[in-house]
Amino acid sequence: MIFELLKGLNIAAHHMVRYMAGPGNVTVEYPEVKREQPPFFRGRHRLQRYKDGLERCVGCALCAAVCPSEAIYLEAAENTPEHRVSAGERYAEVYQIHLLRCIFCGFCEEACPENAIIMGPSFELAMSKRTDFIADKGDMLDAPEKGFGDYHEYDPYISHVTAESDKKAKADPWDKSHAAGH
Amino acid sequence: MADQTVHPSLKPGTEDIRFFLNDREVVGKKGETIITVAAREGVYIPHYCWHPSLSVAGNCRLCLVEVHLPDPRNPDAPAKPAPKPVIGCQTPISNGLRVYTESKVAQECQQGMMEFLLVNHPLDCPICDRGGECQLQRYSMEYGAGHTRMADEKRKFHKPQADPLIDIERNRCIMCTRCVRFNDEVGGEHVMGVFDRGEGNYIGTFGQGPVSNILSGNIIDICPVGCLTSRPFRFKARVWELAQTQSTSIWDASGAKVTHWTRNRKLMRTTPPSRKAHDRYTVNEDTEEFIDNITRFGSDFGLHADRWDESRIRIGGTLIPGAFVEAVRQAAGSLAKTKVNHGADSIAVLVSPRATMEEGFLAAKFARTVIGNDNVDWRMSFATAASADAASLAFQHADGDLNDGFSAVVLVNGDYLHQVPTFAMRVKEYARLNNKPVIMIGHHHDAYFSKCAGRRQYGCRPAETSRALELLSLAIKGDAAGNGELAKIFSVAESEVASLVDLLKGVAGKALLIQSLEDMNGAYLPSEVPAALTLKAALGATWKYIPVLRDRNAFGLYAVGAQPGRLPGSEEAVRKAWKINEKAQIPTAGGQHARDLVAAIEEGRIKGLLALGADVLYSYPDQDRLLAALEKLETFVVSDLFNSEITRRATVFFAAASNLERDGVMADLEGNLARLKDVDGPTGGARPDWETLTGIATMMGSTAFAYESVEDVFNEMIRLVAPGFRGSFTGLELAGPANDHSVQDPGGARRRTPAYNPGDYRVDGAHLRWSSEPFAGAIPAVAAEAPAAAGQFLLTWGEHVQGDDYHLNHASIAHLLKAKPYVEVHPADAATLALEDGKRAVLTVGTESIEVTARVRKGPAQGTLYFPAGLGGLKLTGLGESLTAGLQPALETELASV
Ligand code: SF4
Ligand code: SF4
Ligand code: SF4
Ligand code: SF4
Ligand code: FES
Repeated sequence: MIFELLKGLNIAAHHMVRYMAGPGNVTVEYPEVKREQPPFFRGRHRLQRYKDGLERCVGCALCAAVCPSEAIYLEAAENTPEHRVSAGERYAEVYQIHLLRCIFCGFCEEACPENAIIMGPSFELAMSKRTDFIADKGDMLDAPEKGFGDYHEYDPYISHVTAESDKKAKADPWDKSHAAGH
Repeated sequence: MADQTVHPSLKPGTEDIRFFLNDREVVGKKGETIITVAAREGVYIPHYCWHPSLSVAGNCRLCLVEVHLPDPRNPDAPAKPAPKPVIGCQTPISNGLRVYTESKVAQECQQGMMEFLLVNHPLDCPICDRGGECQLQRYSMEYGAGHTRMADEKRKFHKPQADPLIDIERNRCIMCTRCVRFNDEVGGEHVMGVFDRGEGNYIGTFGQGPVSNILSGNIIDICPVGCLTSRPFRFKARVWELAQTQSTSIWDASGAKVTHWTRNRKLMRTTPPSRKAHDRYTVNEDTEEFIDNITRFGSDFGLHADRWDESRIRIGGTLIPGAFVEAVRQAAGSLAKTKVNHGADSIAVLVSPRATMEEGFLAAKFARTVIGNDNVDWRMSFATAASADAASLAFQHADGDLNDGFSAVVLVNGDYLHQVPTFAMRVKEYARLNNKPVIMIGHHHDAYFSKCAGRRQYGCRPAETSRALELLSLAIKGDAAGNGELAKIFSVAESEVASLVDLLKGVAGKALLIQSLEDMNGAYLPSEVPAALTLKAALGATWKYIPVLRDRNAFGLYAVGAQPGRLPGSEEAVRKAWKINEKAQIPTAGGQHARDLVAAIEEGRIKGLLALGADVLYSYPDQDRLLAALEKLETFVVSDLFNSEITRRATVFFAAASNLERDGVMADLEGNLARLKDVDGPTGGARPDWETLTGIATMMGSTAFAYESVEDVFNEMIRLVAPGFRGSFTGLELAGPANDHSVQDPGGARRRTPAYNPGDYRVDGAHLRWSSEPFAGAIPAVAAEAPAAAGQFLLTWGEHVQGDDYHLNHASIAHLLKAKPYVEVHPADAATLALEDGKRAVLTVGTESIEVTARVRKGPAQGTLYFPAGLGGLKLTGLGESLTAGLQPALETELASV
């Protein structure tokens, strides 16, 4: 029995000496030091953008449909040439995630057809007011310079009615631009 | 396209055909197609272009099935596979045919066709409003291959802005031509077409104009994909997020059934009744129960910013919000005071024509028992009390039902499409598809019926309509002496009149006499109704009569006795139900007609008014006079939705429940009942009118108003009104997500879902009928028409559902729903005026003139113009007299200045 006790203590002592000040220690000095998370860590949600600043999210609500805890609420609206928010015709005017309801399952990320919502590395979810747990677009949208890809990558088509497109449609409804190797 | 104006399913013969459907022997009628029999037998054949209400186009090829044909020379030999699969929607059934809808060949065809349809499809489901209820999505899952071999760039079209209500996204179109056929056949206007060829094939409207007719919204539902979507609903919500409520239209007196789709109790869209597919309710793209655009896009008026959702009490000149109970106490107190001070006859009760039958019933009971008079009415929009009474006479004799079909129809006057859109549609479609005679008599004919091959038109001056009907009934009874006069009235040859009489006499089986109760200046209806009833009596018992009035629940309110001189049932029954003792009198005479109410207030005979809905007051043509009269009232209690000129003059205001917040029953033109269903109770402090009335009556000391729910009111009412009714209040609900237990209760027995079965969504309600003796009364004479000045036309007019309307004015897109002013001109008159169809013209009535579009058609009789009242703000307040109008083609310079 004594032998077992000493064996255990030996392990503890071994680790204590080994990691006391060395670079490979397990604990970090949070919050001064923050640990790097593994690549598929499912932390706080982020809404991504394209390089040109347009939002990737098209407000399709598939994330809200798949969410098992009904944490996502969104209202979509139509882009106009004067007020273009996303690359498609539609964008999310209101996009909220209730972080107290969210179980961080990652289904929303998986359902998103636009790679718009991703679960980021941030795990800091403590807040002082209940209302703060409702994250809206302002809390989740990436800064414009973080955007990746340009929106031609998403191009079923961008078909907006503008004075010009209406004129074109009247003159010749068929958009032959792709025939010329667009 | 081949000449396929009649879809085969409607023209089946009587001979039985026996054939095999997936090795099961089934029986159909000769002339039926495979798809119609299969649908009836619960076998689903995927289809895009086939629609039960439209002609067969046979262009999507998704309904390909494998067939084996028997050898005609050797019927005992096994059937041999046909060399090619056939399309189920166009192939008629034949004896011994073996049809396989799920065989390998059929599946390969379906997969191939799906791949072909998806070659150029953008597949932008995330931003497509059809996503979630799309047939292309659904069939891709069920019948598609699951992968694509298309590597090239897809075809793209520019997007046009053609219609403010319908979004056209050509890239998603699968060229089924349902929309084109709907407009051609049902909508009655050739406004859409398929343009260009081959890969450049696209759908569009002629001249990039709008799809303007009043039924156009239906192409949104019947388009199987997301090419045609609703603009007002655009991106508002995904369909799977919406709760559904099965209800009925409050606009359309045809009794159209609807589904309201709401999100967080807010109305997002309205469609025809949804259907069940895969244990879910989804929009019915095969619907036959079409609805009009006002019902579809205008039902959200309850969300208007002017909505008042709490009761208000006038204290020192201002209306102060107060509790419901307080308002009830106040209303009861002031009505009682007025009654004591000025007598029972100084109080009147008005009911909105859009009130439910329960509300009308309670109003009738309130006036008869609590107030103690006969002053209850809903008929404010009539020009005179006499024409309002004529309308009631018409209801007394109403006995027709469109569901029975007809072998001929006579239409007396009327702008049916613009007053009762889906009723007009059903009459027209039945007559057109079955090639039945449509005989139009009177001063205005609905041009919507011009597609019916069996159409005959007999136009006359308004003052001559009743004489014409009278002479016609004499001629039918064998007295041909008046034929000469009749020919003169109709401006036709006498032989033509004789042939009309022969045609009418020769009609076998059920036939319909439909009359518009549009009364214009009120001078003609009092003799037109008796004349039409005389004609009906002359034609015989197989002829049924349907009077047509635009007001949604007119028939129901007549039935429940919400008008002077009529009780909801026999006096005995009413006495028992209302607990009135033997000696007391039930007031049924000397009631105040709504039409003369304003004059009565001005003369000081009426001091107190209780109005259920301000829309009934808004229907009075001279609003300035009405508002001045309302100021004179001592007590004005109104239950309404909005802060408006009328309600601001109230002494007590009750916040009413909107069309989506109350429950009840309404009757349509044919006396069928339909349930108006609330989504989730009233908002804020609003209360349904039955609660308000029950509260006031109880507070005024009545014990006969002990209702717990609207169902109690219904039960008392229906026992009086239709003692033979065997159904129940809940039984009148449409099948829907809220009351379908196979959906609600996962453990319950699940019905096998028939893929297409419109019968599931139709409720055959009680028929409101009174045993009517053939009419034998006299026909009052009509004053002769004063000769019009040179260059002047006699003006005829009628209401229009897209005109000035209290509720429609509060709809969120009212500006898009209102019709632009137009005038109908007879082709002969147009020729003398050098006016072409669609050109602008200036209409002058008295001192007022407005710019209108001329519609040249055989609508009005020669020498008369037809103007839908309430369009373009032209007030026709000079009621009670005939009006003449001048019409001039608009000059280019005038046009520029407008
Ligand atoms: S992570 Fe899961 S629970 Fe959280 S919002 Fe996404 S889907 Fe909903
Ligand atoms: S985040 Fe993605 S799934 Fe959610 S609405 Fe936006 S595009 Fe759709
Ligand atoms: S029409 Fe159907 S398949 Fe096409 S994008 Fe819309 S939802 Fe998707
Ligand atoms: S728009 Fe819709 S209904 Fe019309 S042809 Fe195209 S797919 Fe068919
Ligand atoms: S449904 Fe038969 S070809 Fe389209």
